[in-house]
Amino acid sequence: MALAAQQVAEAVRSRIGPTAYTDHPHPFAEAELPAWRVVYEGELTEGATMDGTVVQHGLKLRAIGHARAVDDLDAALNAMAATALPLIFAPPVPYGLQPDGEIERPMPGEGEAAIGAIEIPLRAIFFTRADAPETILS
Amino acid sequence: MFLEDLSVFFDVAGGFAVDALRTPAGGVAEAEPQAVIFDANGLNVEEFDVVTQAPAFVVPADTWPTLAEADEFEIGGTDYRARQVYPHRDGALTVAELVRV
Repeated sequence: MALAAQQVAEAVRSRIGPTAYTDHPHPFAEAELPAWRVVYEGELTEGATMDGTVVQHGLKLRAIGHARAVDDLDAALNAMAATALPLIFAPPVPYGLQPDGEIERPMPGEGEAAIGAIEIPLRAIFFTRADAPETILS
Repeated sequence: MFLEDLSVFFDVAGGFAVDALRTPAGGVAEAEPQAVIFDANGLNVEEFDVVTQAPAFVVPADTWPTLAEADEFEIGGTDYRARQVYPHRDGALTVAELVRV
């Protein structure tokens, strides 16, 4: 068992597929692209019952797709998102997973200027017991 | 203008240069390669958590006076495209920043 937030991130990662990682903090090599990272943005917790024994979690995640393309980098990034979004939100969607804000497409001009990213913000809502942080109630 | 003799550097056989075969943007490959000083790695930069490179070469400015963005080069069996072209210091050399294609 793992902390609830980790289970949710892992669910997103596995939905995207084998080119997605939650444990790749070091930079990708170009040969690994296209690839995805699923990273934590923040987790708001609050008591869902008067006594606080049940906790509601609002977990913000970000799925970040990285691609290399000499021409039409924006098209490559959009294609990545077009492939991943139906996978992430294929029903039944777990943990109340939903889009959460602005999709960003940073494309820097350093190096070969052939690397870009597309960032998809996500939010999951789920409940745990305060004394059982590894067990998701819903 | 001081005219440097750069031939000792741009010597494929005994100097520091390698052959680069140019295909001007939208044109056909030239018949003969020219000597350039090529830096395959350039520098490693991390763009958005990806390790990438910045290959580049320098070449005497009078070798390819029309050298321009989007020209393509075959260097050591790898194809590159010019991203940026600009003079270096006094203009005797031209720098071409490349991307692997």
